[in-house]
Amino acid sequence: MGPIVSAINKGEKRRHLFAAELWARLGRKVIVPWPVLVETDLLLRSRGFPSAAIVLGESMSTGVHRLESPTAADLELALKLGKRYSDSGADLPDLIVMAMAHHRKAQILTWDFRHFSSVVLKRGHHWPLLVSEAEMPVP
Amino acid sequence: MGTIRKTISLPEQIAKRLDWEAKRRNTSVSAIVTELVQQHPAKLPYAGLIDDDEQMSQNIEHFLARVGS
Repeated sequence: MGPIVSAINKGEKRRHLFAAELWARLGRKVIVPWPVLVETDLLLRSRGFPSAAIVLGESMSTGVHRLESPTAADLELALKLGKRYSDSGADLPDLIVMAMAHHRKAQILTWDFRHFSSVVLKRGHHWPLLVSEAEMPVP
Repeated sequence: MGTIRKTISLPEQIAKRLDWEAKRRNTSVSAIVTELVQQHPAKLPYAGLIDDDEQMSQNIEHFLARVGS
């Protein structure tokens, strides 16, 4: 969710420019899980930006990126990981992103490096991240 | 995703090039136009819509925790 927030929020300066260019270039190669859209919508509205939340939703509706629902298998894996790593702090949207990436053999775009390194499929596993922590610009 | 029929007007030379390219690739004009549009990195409709905390994307949980409080 962090990268899409950075793309929306020009207050993040260099990180915003980096994220906006990345999302623009990736276009429909990006799968946006439904829970990520819902959580971003909630965040934008809680910060007093309901019109930005609507534009984001319209962007998904018109196919700027690929909005996809988690399947029953995605939810099953997400809940399994959530049970196994109940103390990690990873929430359902994080866990759904992991499960959807696993089942679709996709890379993950996140700024939440802590949760995505503390929850793994098995010992020695790491999630394939599109942008590493070292590559994420500071604002 | 479904398809929608569009009628467009093009300069004669561009229309000829499009027809020629479709024939050369053994594909349709629609397929070429679709490919060209998809290749072009569109400006994101939502990019830079808000100007908020510079650490917003790093403090999502903190901000969401305030919802409803």
